[in-house]
Amino acid sequence: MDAPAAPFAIPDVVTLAIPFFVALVFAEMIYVRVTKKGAYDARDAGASLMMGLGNSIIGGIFAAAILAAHYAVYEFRIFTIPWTWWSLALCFFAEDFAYYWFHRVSHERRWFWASHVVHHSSQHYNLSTALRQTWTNAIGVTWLFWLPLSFIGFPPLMTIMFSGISLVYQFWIHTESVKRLGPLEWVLNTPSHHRVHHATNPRYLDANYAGVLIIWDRLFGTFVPERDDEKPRYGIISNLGSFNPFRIAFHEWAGIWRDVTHAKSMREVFGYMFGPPGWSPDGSRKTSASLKAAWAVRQSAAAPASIAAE
Amino acid sequence: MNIEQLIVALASAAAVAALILVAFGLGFRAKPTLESEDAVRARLAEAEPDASPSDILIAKDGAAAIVRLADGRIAVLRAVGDRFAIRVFPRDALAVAAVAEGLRITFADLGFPALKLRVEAAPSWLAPH
Repeated sequence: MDAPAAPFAIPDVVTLAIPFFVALVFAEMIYVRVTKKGAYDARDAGASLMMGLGNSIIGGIFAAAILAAHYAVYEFRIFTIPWTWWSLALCFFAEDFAYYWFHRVSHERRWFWASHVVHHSSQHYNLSTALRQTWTNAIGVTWLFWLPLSFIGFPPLMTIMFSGISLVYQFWIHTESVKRLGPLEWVLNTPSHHRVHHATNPRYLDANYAGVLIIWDRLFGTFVPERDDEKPRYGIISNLGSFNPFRIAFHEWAGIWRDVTHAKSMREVFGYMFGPPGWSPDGSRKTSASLKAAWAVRQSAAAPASIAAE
Repeated sequence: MNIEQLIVALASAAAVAALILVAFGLGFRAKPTLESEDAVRARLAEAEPDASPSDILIAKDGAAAIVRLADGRIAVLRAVGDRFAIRVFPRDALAVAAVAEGLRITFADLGFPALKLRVEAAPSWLAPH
């Protein structure tokens, strides 16, 4: 049975948004130049934009295959959900929930991190960073996280439409030009929340995985607020030494390959592929957990000194 | 890829090229340098708070520095755009070769390409091997 027909022509929101992306990056560059608030580097922005262009071209090549996977799963759906106002509302929340888990797992498991690391590999945080996207979504099978929605019975095109809306929403939050948004900070993923997400400060690591709604982080205990007394330092734990798009796209995959081919057991193979980023058999490399633990030790060592000083 | 997608890709490529030119035109091309050992220590402390520098070698142009840590590991600081990328490696993870005007250091990491370090002479702890 075919999926229920959409009552309107489904827009390709990402493609429609491209002119706005370009205009806003241009406007932010001018704003940064004039106000000195925020930062740009031409080579860094160039690399980010090249990654975005590559993502869009490669995404177009694999789009049909991923849509076919959705329809294959949809054949086994539990419900047949129509296109109505309530199903659209439900799908919005379901897609955002799927995004949260995709994003969280992309940070916690190296296989998925190998694709997602690209987005975090800039040491800048501006609108061009939003466009620094992976080229390896298809082989990284990150699209698997949205298949359960087709299994539940949401029409695949409905899921893909909300996925596009989420992507477009997330563009504007990659900026240092917007501080905080009052009560909206409780519900929405905002520039402030997402700055924390892109930070490498131990306090901020592995936090704020939200797409559109920050409620999932609040619900699952991964929410960390931005502090005025600790400015985010952007990038990754092992920052890249290059703006070459191919190095940016494939460096973590090459790292997995190198580690797996030197592994001494199946346990090591599994750990290198699906352990937390930075996992090593002897624990000699840095993971988020080890960085947070070392930071906690430094904090507790510093605390008695500050108390004594008071 | 259909004709519509091709047009979008070409228009996007043109927009990317235009934005890159604008970014250069607006002067977003700072080149940070490491002027002194204190500057190296400060940057290293921010990125690697537990690292304890023992010996420091700064490139002539200030674009990079190599630091031997107290535990024998090597920290590498290199300018990448207007920022520094700072990494710590076990000594045996670096391959050092003498080249004209200095050293070429290679790393087993696709994301961290070989670094040409302009120095007068290599210290014994960074001797080519």
